[in-house]
Amino acid sequence: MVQPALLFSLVLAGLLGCGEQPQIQTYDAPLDPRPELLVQRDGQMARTAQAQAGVQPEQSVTWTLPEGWRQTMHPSGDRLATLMAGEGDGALEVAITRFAGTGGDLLANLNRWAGQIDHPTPVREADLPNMLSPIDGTPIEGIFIDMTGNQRMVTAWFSDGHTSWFIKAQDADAKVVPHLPQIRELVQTFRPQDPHAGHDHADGHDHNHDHPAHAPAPPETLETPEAPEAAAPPQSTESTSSPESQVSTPSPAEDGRP
Amino acid sequence: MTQSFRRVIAPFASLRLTVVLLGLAMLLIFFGTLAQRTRGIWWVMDQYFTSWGVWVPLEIFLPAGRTVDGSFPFPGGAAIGLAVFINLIAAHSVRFRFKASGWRLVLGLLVFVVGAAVITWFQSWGVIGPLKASVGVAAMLLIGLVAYLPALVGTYLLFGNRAGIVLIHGSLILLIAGEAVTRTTALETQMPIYVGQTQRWTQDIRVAELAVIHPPDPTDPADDAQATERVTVFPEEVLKQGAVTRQPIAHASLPFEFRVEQYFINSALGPYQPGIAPPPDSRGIAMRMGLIARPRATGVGQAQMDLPGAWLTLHKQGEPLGRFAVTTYTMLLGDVYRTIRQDVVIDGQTWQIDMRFKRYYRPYGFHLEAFSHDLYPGTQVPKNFASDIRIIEPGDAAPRAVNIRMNHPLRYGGDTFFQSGYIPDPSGGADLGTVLQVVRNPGSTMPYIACALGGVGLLLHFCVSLWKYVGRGVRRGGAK
Repeated sequence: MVQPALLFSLVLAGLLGCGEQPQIQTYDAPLDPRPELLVQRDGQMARTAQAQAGVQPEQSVTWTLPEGWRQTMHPSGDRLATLMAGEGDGALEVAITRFAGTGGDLLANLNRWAGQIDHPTPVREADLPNMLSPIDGTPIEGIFIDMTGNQRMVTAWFSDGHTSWFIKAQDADAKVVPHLPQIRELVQTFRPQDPHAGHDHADGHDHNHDHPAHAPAPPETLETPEAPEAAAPPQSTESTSSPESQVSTPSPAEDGRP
Repeated sequence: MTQSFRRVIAPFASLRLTVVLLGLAMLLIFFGTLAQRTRGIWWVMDQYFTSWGVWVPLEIFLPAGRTVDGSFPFPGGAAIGLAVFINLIAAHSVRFRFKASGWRLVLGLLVFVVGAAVITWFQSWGVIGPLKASVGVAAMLLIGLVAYLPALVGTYLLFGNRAGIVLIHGSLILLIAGEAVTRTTALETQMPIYVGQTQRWTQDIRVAELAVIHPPDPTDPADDAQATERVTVFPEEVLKQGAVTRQPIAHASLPFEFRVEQYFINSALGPYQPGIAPPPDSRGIAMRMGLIARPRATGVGQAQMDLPGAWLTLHKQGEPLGRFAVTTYTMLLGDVYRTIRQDVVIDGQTWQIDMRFKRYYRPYGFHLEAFSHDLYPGTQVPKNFASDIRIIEPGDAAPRAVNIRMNHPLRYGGDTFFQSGYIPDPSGGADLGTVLQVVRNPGSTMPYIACALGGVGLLLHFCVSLWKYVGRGVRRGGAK
C-alpha cells in the first residue's frame, strides 16, 4: 500500500501544479443592440396612445445644457439622456426620460417616489402645495416636484397630453441643493423641436439605460432574488476581509421602478 | 510482461486498494451531500467531486445553523477517480492476459479494433439521434446489440472465457475516462433570444466577468450589422484575487486602472439605509443604490444562481475617477437577461463597465422568428415550448430554418441546443423570447458506450458461465 500512495501523491502534486491562470482578454465583439422587439414595443405603446388621441407622432424636445454640465449617455429606450452636473465629489446625475401617455396618476407617482427616498407616506392632496410648483415660460405644460426624505428628489414633469417627459435628479440633499438653480435653468430651456419626428431611436447602439423603466419580471428560468431593502456603504478600503466572508441576510424586496 | 514490471505494478492492482477507494468514494459522496445543505450544488461539485482534495469542515456533521471550528483533509473526487482508474489498469495488466497467440491474436486485435470503430460510429449523435427518432428506443437498443457484436467477438478471440470480465472492466475504465473528458472539455451555457433578435453569444450563468467596453462613436454612420465594439474582459478569478491583494488591476488596452474594494459571490442592489448617504465618490448606479451581500445560492428551490458583484474604484494615473457598484443583479432591473452598462467618461471618450455572465461569441447567429408556448387546455401546465430559429452564417444567402422544441434539440456546430425556458412579458402579453440551453460535451456519448459495453460484458460472462455449468452437468451425467 505504500507504493501506490507514493505514486498517487506524486501524480496529484504534478496535476495540482498545472492549474490554468485566468487570462484578461481583449477582443472585438459584434454590437449588442437592444432587442428590436423591445424598441418596437416602446414605439407601439407610444403610437397606440397617439392613435387613440388622434394626434401625429410625438414631439422631439431640445434643451440647453447649463454651463459646466455634460451629457454622459445618449438616447436608449425611454431615457433620452443622462446629464452630469459638476465635477468630482459634488457631481450630480440628472436623467431625462420620456413615456407615452400622460405619465400616470400624480398622487400614485408621488407616493411611489416618496417610498424610494423614505419620505413620509402616503402623500395626500393636502401635501401637494408644499412639494409642487408650476413651470412657467415653457411651451409645454409642466410642474416642478421637490421632495426630501433620506435623499432629495427633484423632478420636472412635462406633458402635452399624449407624451410625458421627466427631468429628474435624486441624491443627497447637500449634493442636490448647489445644482438646483441650474436644474431650473435647464427646465426652462426644455421645448419641442420637430413635431413630426418619430419615436424610435435609430442609433441602434446599446447604451443600456440604468433606469428600470419597464422593470420586466425576471425570466422563468432564473431565480428572482429578493432585493434587499437597504444597502450599507462599501466597507473601508482598509478592510482585509475575504470576499467569501461578505455574506448577510437577505431582506424584503423593493419594487424596482423609477 | 517482465517479472520486475509485474512486481512494481502488483500493489496498484490490489483488490484491497479497490475496496478502500470505493469506501472513500462513498464517504466523499456522504460528506458532499451534507455540505450541499448550505453551500450549494455547484460549489460542492467544484470543491468535493471534481477536486483533488478537500478540507471537510466538521460543522457539516452538526444540525444546520450550528458551527464548530476545525476540518480534516480528504481526497477529492478527481483523486479517487484517478486512483480507481490506475487500479483498474494495473489489475488488468496483472490478471488478464491474452489467451490468444499467433494468427488468433492478430485476428482478435483486428476484429476488436473494427468493433471499437463501429461502436464509436454508432454511438455518435449523428447516428443515434435520427435512429432513436425513427425507430424508437427499444428497436435502437436491439440494433445497438448488433453494433456491439464485432467488439464482442474480438474480445472473445483475445481473452476466451474471460472476455465478459474484460469488457466489464473496460466499461468501468471508459466510464471514468468519460467523466474526465466531460469535466475538462464540456461547456454548458444558455442563449436567450428575443423574438426578432439575432443572438450571437451564449453565457455561462455560473461564471461572471467584468467587461470594459469601448463602444463605437454613436455619431458614426457605420452599418450596425458590421460594427463592433472593443471589449476587455476580466475573469471572475482576477476580481476575486484583486479583492484579496488590493492591488490595482490594469490592462494595456484601457486608459484607467481599477481596484476591487469588495467582491460578493452573490449580491443584490438596494437603496441605501435610511440616514446613510452614498459614498461621496459614487458614480453610476452607486449614486442611488448600494450592493448587498447575499448568501451563496444553494442551487435548489428559489436560490438557484449566484449574482456576483463588486465595489470598484477607478483611477487614471492615480487620479480617482469614482466608485462604482457592478453586479449581474442589474439584469433584473432592465431588460431581462441584459445587464446594465455604466458609463465612464475619460478625456471625452466614453467607456462602459459591465458585470455580466461569461460570454462565448459564436461565428454564427440564431435569429428567433417565432416562439410558441402551448398549454394544456384549461390549465397553466406547459404542453410544449417551441422556437422557430433561422441560423445566420456569415455570407449565407439562404439561412437554414430549424425548429427547436421540448425533447427535440438541435445539434449544430458541435453544440446541442435544448429548449429550456422562455422570456415572459411582464405585462402579461405574449412571451418575449426563448431561452436555449447550449451544451458542448465531446464526452457525452462515452457513458452510453461504457454502459452498453458493461451490459454486453455481463451478458457474455453470464452465457459463458451458463455454458460451463451446463457442460459440467452433461459431463457428470455422462460419467454416471
